[in-house]
Amino acid sequence: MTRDAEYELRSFLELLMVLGIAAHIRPVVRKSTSVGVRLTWPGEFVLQRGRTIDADDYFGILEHQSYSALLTDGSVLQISFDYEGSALVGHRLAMIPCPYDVDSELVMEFGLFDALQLIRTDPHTKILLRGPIRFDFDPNAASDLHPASHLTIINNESRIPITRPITLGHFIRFVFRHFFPHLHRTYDALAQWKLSEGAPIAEPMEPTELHLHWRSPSTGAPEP
Amino acid sequence: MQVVRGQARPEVEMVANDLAQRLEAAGVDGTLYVGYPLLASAENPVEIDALLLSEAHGLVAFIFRSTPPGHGNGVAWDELQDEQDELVFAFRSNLGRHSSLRKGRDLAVDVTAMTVFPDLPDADRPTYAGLSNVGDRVVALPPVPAGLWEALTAALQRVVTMRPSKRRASIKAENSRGAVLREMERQIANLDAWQQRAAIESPEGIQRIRGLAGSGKTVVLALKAAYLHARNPEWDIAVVFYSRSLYQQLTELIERFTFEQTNDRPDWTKLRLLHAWGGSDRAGMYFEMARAVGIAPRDYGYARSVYGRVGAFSGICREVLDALSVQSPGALFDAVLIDEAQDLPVEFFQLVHRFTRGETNRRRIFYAYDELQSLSDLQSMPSPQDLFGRGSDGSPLIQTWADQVLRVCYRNTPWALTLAHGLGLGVNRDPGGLIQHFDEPSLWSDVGYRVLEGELRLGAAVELERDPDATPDYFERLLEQQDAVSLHRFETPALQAEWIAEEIQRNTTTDELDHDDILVVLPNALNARQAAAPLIGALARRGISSHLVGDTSSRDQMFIPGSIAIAHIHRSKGNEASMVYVVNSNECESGTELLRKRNTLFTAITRSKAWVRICGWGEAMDRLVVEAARIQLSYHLRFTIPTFEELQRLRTLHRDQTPNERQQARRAEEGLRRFLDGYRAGVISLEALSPELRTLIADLQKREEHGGFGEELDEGL
Repeated sequence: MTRDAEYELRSFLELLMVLGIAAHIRPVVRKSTSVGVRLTWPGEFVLQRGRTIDADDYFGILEHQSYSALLTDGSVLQISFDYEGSALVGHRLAMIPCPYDVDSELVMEFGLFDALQLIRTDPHTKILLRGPIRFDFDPNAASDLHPASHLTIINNESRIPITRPITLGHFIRFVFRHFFPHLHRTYDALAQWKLSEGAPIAEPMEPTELHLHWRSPSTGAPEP
Repeated sequence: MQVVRGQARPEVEMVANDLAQRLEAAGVDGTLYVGYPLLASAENPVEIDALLLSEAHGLVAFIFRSTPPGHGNGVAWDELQDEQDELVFAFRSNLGRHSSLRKGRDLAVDVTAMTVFPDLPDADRPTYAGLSNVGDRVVALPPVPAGLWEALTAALQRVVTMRPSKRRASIKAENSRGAVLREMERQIANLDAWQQRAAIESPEGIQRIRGLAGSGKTVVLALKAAYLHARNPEWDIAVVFYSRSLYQQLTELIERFTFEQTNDRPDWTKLRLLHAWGGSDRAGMYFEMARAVGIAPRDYGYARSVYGRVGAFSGICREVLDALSVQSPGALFDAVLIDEAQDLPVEFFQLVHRFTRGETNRRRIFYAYDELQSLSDLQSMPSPQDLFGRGSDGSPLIQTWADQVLRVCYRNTPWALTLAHGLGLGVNRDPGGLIQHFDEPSLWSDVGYRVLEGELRLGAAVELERDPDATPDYFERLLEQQDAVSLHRFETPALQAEWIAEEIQRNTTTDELDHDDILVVLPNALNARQAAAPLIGALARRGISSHLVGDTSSRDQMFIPGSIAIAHIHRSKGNEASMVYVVNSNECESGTELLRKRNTLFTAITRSKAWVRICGWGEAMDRLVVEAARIQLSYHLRFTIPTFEELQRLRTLHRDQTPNERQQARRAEEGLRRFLDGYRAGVISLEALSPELRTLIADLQKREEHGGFGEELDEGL
């Protein structure tokens, strides 16, 4: 099961390279966890927990290549899945947009990395207000206030409930449909990435508050 | 006898010339250094008027004195003896630093100090001579003790480890590639004769230091800077560089050389290491010059928006030049040394010239540049006449200059170099022939080739090979010709990627190479990411990280620990690696803009310090392999140098196209293809065409029958 997941993730990253969407991809590595295996990117770069990341953190991520893919516009995808046996017991799926609008001519001249440094130090640079989004699944940390599967945006403490863990296919489609619509329209491979069955739904603590939910791809009907 | 002239007082120079003649007449063989070296001592550096280094007669340091004792204003013998003693002592302490020259606590080889007067002194002392008998005196001296000649020359000619060495701690196998590299990195090379001359001789006026990439120009420039600074501590000297990677290297070299000559660190307020441009974070030549004129220095952002990416630097230099036309600020520097001059615009040189002290034609500007960095003259370095501009009367400011050529290439194996030049120029390209050649055939000899047959003349046939004198011996000793250069042809890009990834895996395991010993070069910058994708994937599947230089790290930082560097051609320039894989070489084989493509191939192959694997796929690669095989037979280049007219024609034929031209060519090709399709399908018949077109087609058919489309198409039309 984890083999399949590994291949799927690798295919996705390689596809990004071949289509020229990614400037760089990292190998998918297996790391041992206390209960099993984590599929993730190599290296460690731990962001300080409990605070909203800033531009310096973004550059730290670039320098340490702490991502699965670096896209040509400077945004970064971090994708990791935790397994116990063949059961999914955790994931971190994040999209961190670049704080700046990257000039393609600048990139051609200097390469993406240096172009970003130049933009960073230019006092006239416009900063785009678009923050990272992160889909976390962590049943161990679940509690009344912390749904096992949640979305974090804007505030690092936000835990917008999601009724079950996200699959890679859902993440890919979501990110490209909403944040890279042009690519979504151009490349079927991204728009039509295979959706797999998600885990059973967990009823949100406050079902009348806003939360994220979707139907299973096969049955089309929401599971009880 | 060779004479190498450093910086000496004019009276010393005159005597030295005379001395050289006398020594030569007496049959003395060796090298006479004038005004060099400087010897570090506890107080001020000890100057040596002249130094003879001769295997048959040892080391002789000459002191020139105008009047012998007893002749009017002559100085006492005691004083002269003190002088000699001081000199010998300074020498001994310098030589004594080298363990190879010691025998126990003493020196195994000694220096003789000799005072030379114009006229014969009265007393007959062996270490005192007049010009008339100095030859005899020297001939009477004993030779350098057996076995010490190499060590002595190494000590005096500045032992320099030409290749920076790594710590290769994990080498286990004796003959692995890693072990070979370790051996190569240990090679201690003296400055060769050309480098020495280039470093020491610093006449007034413009001096060019030329050589292939990897001929040690930076070392020469650093030594020259250190020497000038040590001799003239009050001078303001600037050493200018452009790529940031040079900063570290130049600093270390200059510090080391200065220390050897003065036992002290350089005075960095007088000897300034400046980036050509500069910025808020670091000093720069342009910044200094702009400020001197009262202009607020521009940054890259401004320059690019006003002058565009390509003309950015020349644009802002022009601004300062224009401001100078109404002002005349004082000179900023007594001497300026410039590395990588080929990367700097003409306006920069003109500016530097304005700010260097001295008469117009005698300003000390020394610049080093890569010869044949691009194989076409179109991009080559302008001559000093063009570089430094014209005066108000329209004639060039600089009419004379000195040239120092460095013939030895330390970086590339002679085989890689020969193949790179051969493929770059299309020497064995068939059909089609030579693509380009430079205007001045004698350049072949300058860059270290020797003529086996024929002559270096436009229109003449010639056969060339790398001159053994211009080839460091460690290549032959440590590497095998077959292994150093090889070509590999594949059916598809995917197979190419798999093979390379497999090889790289072996390189980093069995071969004991480090990740940063390896470089993958992509010839095409535009589709580099897509072209790299299969390889990145293949490497990732083997658990090997890789990165595209410039995207994942600063383009100045080619190598990332634990990751394989993949660079497209523009990011590879100026960098090198021991194991180089050139990917998709087929893209450089034929087609339009052939000059640029073959230049790319040349640059890619010459990134390699030891091994190069030229890879590609498809039919074009088949042709490239055949072309290369002809050169690889004996690594001789045999061809006919084009005539002047042919050179012009070639230039037009294979030049870079404008975007419009490219589009036009593409449309024309599409049109022709559609015509052929229609013709084959029977939709178009030849009879329906106009007479003009029919004649053209008949003509083309005839040419094809007679073997070779060649490029004479435009001739018959």
